[in-house]
Amino acid sequence: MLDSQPVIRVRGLSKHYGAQTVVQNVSFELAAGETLVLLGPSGCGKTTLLKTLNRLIEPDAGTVEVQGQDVRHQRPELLRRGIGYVIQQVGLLPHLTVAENVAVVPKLLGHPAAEITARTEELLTRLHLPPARYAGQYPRQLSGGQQQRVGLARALAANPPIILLDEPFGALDPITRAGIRREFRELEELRQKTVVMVTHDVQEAFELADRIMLLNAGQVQQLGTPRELLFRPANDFVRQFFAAEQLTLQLRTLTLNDLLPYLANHSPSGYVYNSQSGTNTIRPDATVQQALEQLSAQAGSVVDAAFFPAPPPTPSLPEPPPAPTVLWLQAITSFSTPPELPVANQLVAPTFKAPFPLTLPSLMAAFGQAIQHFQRL
Amino acid sequence: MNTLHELLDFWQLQAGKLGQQTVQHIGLTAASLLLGVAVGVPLGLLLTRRPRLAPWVLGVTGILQTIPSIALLGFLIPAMGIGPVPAIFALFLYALLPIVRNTVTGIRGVDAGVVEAARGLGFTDGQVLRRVELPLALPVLLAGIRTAAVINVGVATLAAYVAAGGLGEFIFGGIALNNPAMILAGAIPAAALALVFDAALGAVQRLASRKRSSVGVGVLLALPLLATLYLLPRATGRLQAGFSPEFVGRADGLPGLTRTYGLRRLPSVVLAPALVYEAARNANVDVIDGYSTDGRIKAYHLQVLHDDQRVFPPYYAAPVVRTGLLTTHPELRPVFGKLAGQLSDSVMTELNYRVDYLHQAPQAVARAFLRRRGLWRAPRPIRPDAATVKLGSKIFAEQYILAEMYADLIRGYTDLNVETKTGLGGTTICFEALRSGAIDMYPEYTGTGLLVLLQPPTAVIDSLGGDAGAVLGYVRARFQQRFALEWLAPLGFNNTYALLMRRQQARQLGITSISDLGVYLRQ
Repeated sequence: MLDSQPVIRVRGLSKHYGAQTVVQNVSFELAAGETLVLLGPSGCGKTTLLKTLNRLIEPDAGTVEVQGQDVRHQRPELLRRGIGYVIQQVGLLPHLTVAENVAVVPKLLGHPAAEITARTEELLTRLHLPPARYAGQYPRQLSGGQQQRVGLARALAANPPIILLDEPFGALDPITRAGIRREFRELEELRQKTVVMVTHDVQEAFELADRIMLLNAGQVQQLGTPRELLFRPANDFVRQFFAAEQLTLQLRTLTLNDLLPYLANHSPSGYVYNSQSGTNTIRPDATVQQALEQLSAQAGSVVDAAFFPAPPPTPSLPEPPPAPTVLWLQAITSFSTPPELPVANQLVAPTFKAPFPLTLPSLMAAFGQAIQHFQRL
Repeated sequence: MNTLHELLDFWQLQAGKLGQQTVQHIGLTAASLLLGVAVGVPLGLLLTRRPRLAPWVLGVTGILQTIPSIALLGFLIPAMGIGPVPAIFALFLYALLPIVRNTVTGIRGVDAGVVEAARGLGFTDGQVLRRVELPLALPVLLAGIRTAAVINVGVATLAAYVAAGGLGEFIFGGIALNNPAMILAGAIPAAALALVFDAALGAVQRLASRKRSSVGVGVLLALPLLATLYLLPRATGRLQAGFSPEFVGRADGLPGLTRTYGLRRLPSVVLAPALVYEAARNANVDVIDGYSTDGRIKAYHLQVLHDDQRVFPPYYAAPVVRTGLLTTHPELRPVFGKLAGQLSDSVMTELNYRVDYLHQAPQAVARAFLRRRGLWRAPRPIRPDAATVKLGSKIFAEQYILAEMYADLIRGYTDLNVETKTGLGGTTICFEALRSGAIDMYPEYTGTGLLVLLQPPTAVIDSLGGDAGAVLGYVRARFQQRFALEWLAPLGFNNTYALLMRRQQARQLGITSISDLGVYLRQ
């Protein structure tokens, strides 16, 4: 019963500032554990929409229900204490230590002190901020990435079922950003939460979202999985929005599973699965991007060589010996097409009883065919 | 070096008074700061919530800041009388601007992201204010209080002018008496107090943010304690006196009076000269010093206490004329003499009252008086080649009236031309104008001629005593001899220092002379 009820339900939500419509008639439902990314250009209303969820902004029309309750019937501060909140500027209280910042919401909720301490230490440890070193520091002593991790720990401290994130990585440099995003993705605690995140970064949206809501000028352009937005754009705006980064997004979105029907056509020969190869396998639900990264990692500059002309070898350095550039796709016994995008009926997906070898040429060829196929649908 | 010795001597002599004034000064400053914080901080917070009000409120507090402090006190007297109430209120108004402005600046300076995060995490509005905005704005807020404290220590010296005490009593007494040691005796502790307040609040400001909140609260709690210092009991008596600073310090003022009449148990406060009459009128004080022909004596129903022991030196008014003028125009001598003995103290007071309080023109008042006395004549035609007689006056009503009387007389009794040059800045300016021939005559007072212009040795002054005739004789002889200036016959009134009481109270207590007052106080 509870499972069937959406955690967040938004109906007919609109917000105007004077004559300008910032959010126009937006509706969506979010199931427990789902991650929704609100994506769109600056000023599209995504942040406004996010802030209506915890009543930092009151809508002009429409309703927001959290856990089945209309938020207007709850005291705003009590509502907010049950929803984690992370913003781009982080907003750590500069006069409190890291530990005190993390403990803010549990304290507001009146949790016992011992419990708060334990929880704070646990979170800091998990976010790679060893409490022994960082608990007593002040926010200004931390780097931007560390501050944002504290911000995340603070949002998680009271273990709220819902987390709202407003461009949480927006202020970080690209390297820190990639690192903290990976940590974020791998944080077990977050996987169980219902997450709504605002970003204007397409890569970030595709990496983290279960579903993406693409907004423009306050209107929903499309709401769906990354795969749907990419391969079945609802209109020209959606198509053009992703055009510039299409290849990267496709590499990140398609999994080896999607390539299975085509991989069989390009089976490389001459590779024998042996005991050494066991360290060099990949799961079928990995993305093409991950397969490429793994191949390139073991082959050194092989991927580079495929895309860029190799520099002339310097005479002093002998050319490295050719490395085995093969990956073993783990054996699978059953195969199901992704539910939202059925593979064409005439293509019978093969099943592999034994590990299947992948090389760079075979992978790229299968990827090309798969793209053609999906775009034709 | 000399001044330093005098200063140390002064402090030693007046140690009790110095302590009392310092305590009063701290009390005044703390009380006004406390009010300033109690009103200014909430007002500043209101402005951050209602930004549209901000320019108006900050504008008004800014305008208050530009009002000269003595003028602000003057505005407050009619509503609040004299004493600590208007003083503290004025200081409070001066404290408002820095406190309100820094509160607004401090709160606005808090990172918007921090406030948004705090709200998003579930802080109530009150919690955002108490736990986020105020602690983060505190350094700026304290800087505002610190500025206000230093301003107020300075401005509190002016409290002496409205009988609120403080270190200003020494400072303004010293200024009135041109006594640098006395000025320093008040100014140095005042400056030290400013530094102490500044350093203490500065130390709080520099504290680590954690401690700052608690110490800041401690400072706010300390203010009321310091403010109560002001409430320490002060000397009381049957009558309360309020004197201008000059009177308190001059040898022929309060010290001479106290010595001669034995005026004991007369607690006195020091007041701005302009406020002394107001204070007596509003019954803030009972006994004041003043000038015997001041129009306010009549306007405020005051009574001059008879100086039966003749402590106050005689200040009889008489025309002083260039001898050269009288030689070339001997017909002027009887004209100048027409007013001799015509103006008693009460008559002159009445005329001053008409000009100062009924705002009649000096010329009209002068003419009306001449007509009443049958002295007025229609102006005679001026001889074509007639010389011009230039009449001068100092810059107060009495002198304007006298100058106009002489001008009318000359027009009516001679065929000479007349020009008045009224409103000359002061004694020295009039005197120099007369010597140089820029003017031919102005009314002067015998006491001023003796003490200010001739400045004879103390022995001479003592030998003359308070005898009006002796002083006039001495002044007349010396002026003739040294400056070729002639003192003509006095007009009759004596515009000297006077001790004044409200007429009704004096009558009730049966006091008509200063001796009576001394007897009453000793009872």
